[in-house]
Amino acid sequence: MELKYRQLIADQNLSITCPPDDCQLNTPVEAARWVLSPIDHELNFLPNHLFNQKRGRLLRIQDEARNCGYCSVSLHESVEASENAFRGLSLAIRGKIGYTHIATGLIEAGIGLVTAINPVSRHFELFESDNYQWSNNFTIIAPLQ
Amino acid sequence: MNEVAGYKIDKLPYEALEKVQDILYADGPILTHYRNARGKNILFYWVDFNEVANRWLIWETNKKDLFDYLSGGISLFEYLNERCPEYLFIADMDNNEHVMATVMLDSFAIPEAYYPNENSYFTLGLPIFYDFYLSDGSYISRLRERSYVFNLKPNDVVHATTVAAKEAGQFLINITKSIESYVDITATDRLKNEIGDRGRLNRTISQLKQRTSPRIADTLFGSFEVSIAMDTVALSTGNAEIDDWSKDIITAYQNDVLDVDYSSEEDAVAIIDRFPDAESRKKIFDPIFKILENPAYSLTVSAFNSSFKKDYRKNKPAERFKEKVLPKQTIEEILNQQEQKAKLVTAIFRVPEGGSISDLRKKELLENLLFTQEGNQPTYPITSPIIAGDLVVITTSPIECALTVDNHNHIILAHTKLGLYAEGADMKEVVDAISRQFVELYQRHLDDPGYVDEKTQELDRLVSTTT
Repeated sequence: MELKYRQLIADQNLSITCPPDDCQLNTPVEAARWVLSPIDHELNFLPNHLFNQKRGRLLRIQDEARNCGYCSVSLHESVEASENAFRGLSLAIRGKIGYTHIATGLIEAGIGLVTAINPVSRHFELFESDNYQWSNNFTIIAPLQ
Repeated sequence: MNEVAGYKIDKLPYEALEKVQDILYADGPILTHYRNARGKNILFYWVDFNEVANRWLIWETNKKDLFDYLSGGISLFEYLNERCPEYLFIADMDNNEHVMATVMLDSFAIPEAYYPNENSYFTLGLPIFYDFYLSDGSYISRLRERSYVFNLKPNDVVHATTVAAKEAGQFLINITKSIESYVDITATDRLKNEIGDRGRLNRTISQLKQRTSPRIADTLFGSFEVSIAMDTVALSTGNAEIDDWSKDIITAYQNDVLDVDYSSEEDAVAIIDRFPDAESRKKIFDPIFKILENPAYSLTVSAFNSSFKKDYRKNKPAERFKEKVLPKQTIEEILNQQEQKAKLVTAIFRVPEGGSISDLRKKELLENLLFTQEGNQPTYPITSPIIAGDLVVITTSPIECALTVDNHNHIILAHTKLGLYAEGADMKEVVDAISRQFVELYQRHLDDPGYVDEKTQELDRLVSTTT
């Protein structure tokens, strides 16, 4: 499978396998994440490396595993998990983070490689293949609060 | 980022940190749990950032506080506000994890903007990973998860926020009565069709009542706060009907008893529909009314995971509500009840050596009265030697059996640990049956001394020699 951000991954010069070996081709899966409105905003559904670069921000804690993860799209398995993470943000971060809404949708089967869902944060990462139209499949459901 | 009032230090006092889990994560870690080489639990909380650094608030925590947060008992706001140590650390890090500045600060000096909102509860349920990680006693963790937190605040401020011990004690007795009655009534209703045999049904209900009897899962001093749980953790019986009932029982008690508007006519009607038998309603709700009408304190209650909260200060039982739910009793009923209660008083008297209780007159009886116990389940001691046919077993202490008299005046004796149960119209007959079961149990234990379980341990505790 040709990954959309293969060059971004190559640029990191990682000594580990990226995407990780235990990633699997995704089955149809519900997911949620923080977004900007409208849903087709150019900064939505970007890997962290690109999002932070465009916004002039540093990444949070760089080790190789995280660095690999920052080449994927960060997702939660449910709206509740996504809201749970947002509720935990400090007021200072809330004011600066820039995301305004929460969106959810069904990711079609076979559009990329997914990591296992983290058993605590209920977060996972998707290394997408080319040409997936996120905005056609995701809908904004509520403002972040 | 703002300057933080604190003491600049060269480096963090934690080394060789190993990541345990990202607890909150979106586009990167928000709250991460680490452990150092000495096994200390340390949290890194992302609180601020600018173009050159991310700022982390770092503190050492313990398993109980982690459990309380992850099970939804406290919010992240409360974690920081009430549970973090006196001193914490702030570290500004670049994206190569190079620490650019470290400050040690007093917990009172945490900037307001570095707190999350007050509703920052972890609502995803205690992750299985942490159920194992935090389980020095998984049982306690699970029990706490099922508990309700009852907070009693005194209405009189003479003794600051403390609650009188006798009020707290009475509260525990009343809430226990209500819960046990609820278990008795709802379990009987659910199981009576499945278990047709009355003896077996009584035995099952008696065991269920004892095993789910409320337990204290946690306490907090300040006002008086106690977490009370029905122990459905260890209840798995292999009986699908009972296991299903036990899954619902905690939520059902919340819906039927705790989450009631005690001034609403509609709720009174709903209670009557749910429990058509007035005696059942009385057993469940009378203790609750006593709690809510106690002028000494105000009560709030919440589910341990904060999914339910109720403040009863403005929810005292209205007279009309009480009259509807607890209809006035007829004289016959009152007399009948008094008679039944009279049969259920256990009393212990000091009797002179060689004497008999029948030798004592009323005044002497009162002078020698050491202990009385009222309630629907006093204990009945069967004293050594325990005789069944030709066999005699000497015990070092009496077999303390739970004594119940049901509505048909059947006497029931039961000993849960030993699995003994007998019922009948005559006390001697019931005691003989229990003695027989005990001796048979002991014989089986002698035949297979290598087998050890709760019963054999209790037998070993009770028995010294046989003849």
